[in-house]
Amino acid sequence: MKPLYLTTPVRQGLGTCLRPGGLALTKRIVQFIKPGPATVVLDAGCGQGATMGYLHDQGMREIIGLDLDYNLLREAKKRTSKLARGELAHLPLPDSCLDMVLCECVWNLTQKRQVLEEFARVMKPGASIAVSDMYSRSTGSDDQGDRWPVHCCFSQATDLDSVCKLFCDSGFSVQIVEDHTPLLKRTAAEFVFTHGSIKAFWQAVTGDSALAEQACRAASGTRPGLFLLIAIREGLVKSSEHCRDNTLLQQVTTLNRRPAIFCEADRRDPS
Amino acid sequence: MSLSFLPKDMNWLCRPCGVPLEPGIVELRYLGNVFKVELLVCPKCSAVLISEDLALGRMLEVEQLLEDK
Repeated sequence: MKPLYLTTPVRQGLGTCLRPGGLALTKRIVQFIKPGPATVVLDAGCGQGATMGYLHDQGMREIIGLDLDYNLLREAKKRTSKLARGELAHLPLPDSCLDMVLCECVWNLTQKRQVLEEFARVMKPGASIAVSDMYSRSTGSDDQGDRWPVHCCFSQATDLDSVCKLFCDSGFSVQIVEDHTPLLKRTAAEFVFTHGSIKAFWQAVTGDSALAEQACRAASGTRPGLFLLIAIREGLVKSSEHCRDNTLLQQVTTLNRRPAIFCEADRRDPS
Repeated sequence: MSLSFLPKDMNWLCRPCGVPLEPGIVELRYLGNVFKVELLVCPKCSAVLISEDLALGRMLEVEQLLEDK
């Protein structure tokens, strides 16, 4: 079975961005990080290159795209030339070469810890990373991913605390974590209008009524949400307190540091 | 997104205005979300025909979804 994001119902519903909200979170990321024309950025899991096209329109010129899917890369080629095929866990890039990494609705499809460590390797100290993906809003156990019948961004989703801890453990300092679940709900609502119901959407994806019901039960159990996290790659900096001769370097770590900001975006009162 | 929910039977009249309903793009708004759909609309008073199937099917599920129920 194809990954969820490559199925016809999802591609038709989401368009070129292949994620809830389209470029909405990309714009938020650019607004927060404020990259310049010379910022070297990796779009990790660039898909058809919609984000790369947007970043180019914003004046950025050093944009690298990486994806696993040949067909998506062929589409992306129309928007940019700096493309590579590869796995996020084994980036074809040298150490400390990037100022910024974008990973939008891709991270949950990967070996998450390994990929974060690989991002840390290729990022310069102080570089920014922005990751958007699904998380579980359920207060239950974290093993509910097993219930999803297809490999998808929902199946490896965990709660937000676990997401933040993984970033901290991998050498990042979390700057902001935002909830953007309304964008996910809107996408789900569009699928309902298109297919008749959420179950009918999953039926169209899986082609199997039992699997569709299983997906609905999994969604009910995990209560998927959408987050945006922006973090800084911790780095090697001179520390006069610990380096008497100023030649040694000390790694600054902020393990388990709490995010500076947590806000729920676009919350609206149902009344 | 623009989806069409026109009935099979297009022969509907707006009773107050006495004119036939016509296909038109309608914005359905709920909790800050806007969905554009094609429905039958009165060209005079802009009243919209929403079938029971649509109201109790897709629209109800969308409402519950957006309400987090």
